[in-house]
Amino acid sequence: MKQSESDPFLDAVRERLDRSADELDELTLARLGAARRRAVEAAGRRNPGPLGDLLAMGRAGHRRWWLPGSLLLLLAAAWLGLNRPAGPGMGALPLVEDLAILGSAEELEFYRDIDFYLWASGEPDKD
Amino acid sequence: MRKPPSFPGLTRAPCIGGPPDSRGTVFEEWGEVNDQALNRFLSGVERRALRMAAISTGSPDDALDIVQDAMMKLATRYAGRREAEWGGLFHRILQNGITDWHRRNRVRNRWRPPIGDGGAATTAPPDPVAALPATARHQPDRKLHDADTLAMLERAIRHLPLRQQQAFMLRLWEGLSVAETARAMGCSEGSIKTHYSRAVKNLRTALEGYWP
Repeated sequence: MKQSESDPFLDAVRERLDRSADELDELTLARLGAARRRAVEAAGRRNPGPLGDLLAMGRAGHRRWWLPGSLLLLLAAAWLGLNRPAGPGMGALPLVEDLAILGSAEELEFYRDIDFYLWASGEPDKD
Repeated sequence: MRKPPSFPGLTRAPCIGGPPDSRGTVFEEWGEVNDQALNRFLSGVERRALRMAAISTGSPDDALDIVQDAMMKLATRYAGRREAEWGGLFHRILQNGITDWHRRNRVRNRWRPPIGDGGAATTAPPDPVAALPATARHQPDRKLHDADTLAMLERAIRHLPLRQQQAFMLRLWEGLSVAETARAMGCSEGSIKTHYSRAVKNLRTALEGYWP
């Protein structure tokens, strides 16, 4: 966008952002470098294809995770159904989408912390 | 002024997650030269990518995860594409990663039981100007400390709606054209123009008096 090039405000924003990228600390740069090297090494391996993430576990791996994954989703659905917080607009939630996200591997931390959140939310009631 | 990079790959409508075409399956020819090219490309984009993700998420660790994932996806799925296409593909993957992070975060916050005051965390985000020290807030002419200006800028960008934020960063900082930005964000060029102009207007309002 050429119009932005002569705008002092946008020039200042761009310059400040550039500088912040140049001033990253050594630890962060080292972690970035390590991630880059892992990616470059992985590039030489065979292309896993569009289902690569799934197939990378192998067929046995897929079978191994199917049952616990389904049980986890069912348990999550039951728990969320019973403990669903009230709030405006909650009725229109895309439940399936939420469960898919909450059931993903990245959300294990969330389930680990559930006890803490329940305990914390119950604390004021005891006062 | 930094010369805006050109990402011809974005004009080819890359299909993220879709099957690679005939240009993308030449892994037999992968070698040291390509290793160097990919390493050079990632070195050139990684810092801005990390800052972009960090500003958007507010979490340096999550930002690093997003950038790592983007690098790995580009390397394992699209490294066989022509080098000129990597930029476009990388930005599309990165923006998808940032969008996914916000979506997951939104869902988690929605289902997490309210803590303490019954969900004060769901109220509107604080005004970035109001968060400044009182002396700075009442003296707009005063030159803010460097760290303050960056923190303020980051807060103002983070509080933009996600699409405005992405359009602004890709257009202004990465120097992508409207068409390239539209490809990276998976929306129309008209939407990009709207998101970008609204982002600039909102940032000007938020930072008025503290920037040139």
